[in-house]
Amino acid sequence: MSTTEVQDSEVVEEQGKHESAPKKLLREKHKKYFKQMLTLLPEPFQAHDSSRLTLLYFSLSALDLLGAVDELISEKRKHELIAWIYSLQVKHDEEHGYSRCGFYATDSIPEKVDNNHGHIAMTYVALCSLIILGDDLSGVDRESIIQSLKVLQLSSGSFQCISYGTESDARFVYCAACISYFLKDWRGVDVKGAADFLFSIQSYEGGFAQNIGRESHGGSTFCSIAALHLMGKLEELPEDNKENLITWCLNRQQSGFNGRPNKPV
Amino acid sequence: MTFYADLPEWKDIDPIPLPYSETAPVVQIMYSERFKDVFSYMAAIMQRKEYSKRALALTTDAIDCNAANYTVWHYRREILRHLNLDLQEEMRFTESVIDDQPKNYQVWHHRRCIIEMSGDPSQELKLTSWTLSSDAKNYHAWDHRQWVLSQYKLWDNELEYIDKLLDADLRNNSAWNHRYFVIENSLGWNKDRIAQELEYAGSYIKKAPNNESSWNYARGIIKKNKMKYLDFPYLKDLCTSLNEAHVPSPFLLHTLADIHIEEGNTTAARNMFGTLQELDSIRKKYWAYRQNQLTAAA
Repeated sequence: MSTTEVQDSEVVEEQGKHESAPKKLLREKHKKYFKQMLTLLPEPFQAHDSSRLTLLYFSLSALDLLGAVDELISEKRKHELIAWIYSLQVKHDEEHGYSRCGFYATDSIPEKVDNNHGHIAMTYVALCSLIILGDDLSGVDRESIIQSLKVLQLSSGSFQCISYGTESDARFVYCAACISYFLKDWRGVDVKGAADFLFSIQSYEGGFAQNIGRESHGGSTFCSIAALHLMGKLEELPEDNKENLITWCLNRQQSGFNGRPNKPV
Repeated sequence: MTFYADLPEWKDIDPIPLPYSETAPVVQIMYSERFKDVFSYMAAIMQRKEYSKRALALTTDAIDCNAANYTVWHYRREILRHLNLDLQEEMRFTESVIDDQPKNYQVWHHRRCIIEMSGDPSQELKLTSWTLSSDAKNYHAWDHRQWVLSQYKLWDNELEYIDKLLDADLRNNSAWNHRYFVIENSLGWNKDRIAQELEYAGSYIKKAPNNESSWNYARGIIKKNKMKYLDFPYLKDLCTSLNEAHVPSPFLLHTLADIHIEEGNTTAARNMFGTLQELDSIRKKYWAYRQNQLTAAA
């Protein structure tokens, strides 16, 4: 099916949905849902075992946005959640140095197997989650995390997510920037290198791609601009580039927003 | 279903059970019996650092349970290095996972690693065009294809491939982006090339004047190469004739406005932004902002 045909049929479907859709956010139902999701997840979620810490963050963040963290999560439960998060932290040791440091996603392969490596996005969501829960981050091995970022940054300025070698793109630059921002410590990031990489991934369309030469995309655009802002480098974006970016972003709105031209919202 | 716990050839292994909290479950997944069986053996094998054929088979099952587990894919690569196996089988395996889960990051990264190990990119254009035939905008497929093209300099038939994609769907933004990438990295951008590509974009603009992709390309090839719209009379001619035909395209009017700004004709530009507030009302505030910017400058 060509894009036009897809778009036309999707528009008709959307209009149909709107007639019977609720007119208000169903707060209580959302609160109940996310509270449940903090505890037990049905079997199909095992395909997302490697994002378990992210799933925790999504639920906590949703409850936080709904203003329901204190209402629905007791102090005792907060301590349980915090303890679980900290159980996923890898600290510096003699054998591996800083390369594995950070937080990992799940304990399905237990600690004693000695094979768990920190994942930059899990470190990011771990810190977000701890902050939402009111933790003071005193249990965070800051030095290990900062040093691990050095291991994860590539010569291009971009970041991979695990020290043994993974894909690298704008998502992980964003994670590195957030981590450094939360810990108020930028020693782990070559900020100029990271910023130069981000400037290089703005495509001819005005948005930002995941890597050089790739297609501008809403997700990577958010990651790039947020990271540049956190690094204090956004003002270095030339005025013309900024205008092109703004135009591209505004053109994403059809009714809601799509992530790339001619994609559905 | 056969569990590893029941297989005689695995009797020597003590599985390491997955932790499960009864009292204080935190995002506790209700793993299936199979998942628990596979991963309890996976953990045991990793602890022993066993890199054998049976370990390879175990990673196949682990990937089947959860194809997003980086650790398992990495361990699989370690096994492949240790055993020094023929990688054709591995190519077939990755292809089947890609076919099943074409938006999985780990399998595409694994494929890249296998190609680096083998040094043989000969199947990659076919693999990615196959994936793109189901989903012409799959970001992973485009990423892999662009990596292969750059790494192994396989540019020869690529513009032809893009032509086919745009004939099938001229709104395929990924194909337009790919065209920029291919020319950038093979033929290179110069004034003549930009002029040629403007006519290429122009032919598609005439077919579908409300297609953002072709306009982004036309505008982008000029601006990214630090030139002016006025350096290419074709563009202004195209825009003028479409505008005289009253083609109601916001991209057309925006481009004409920008051309007028380059000419120093702020009145004409302001008129365009005025019309845009009606024509492209969802972006009314932006067009008003652009209009006011010109007043402030004057």
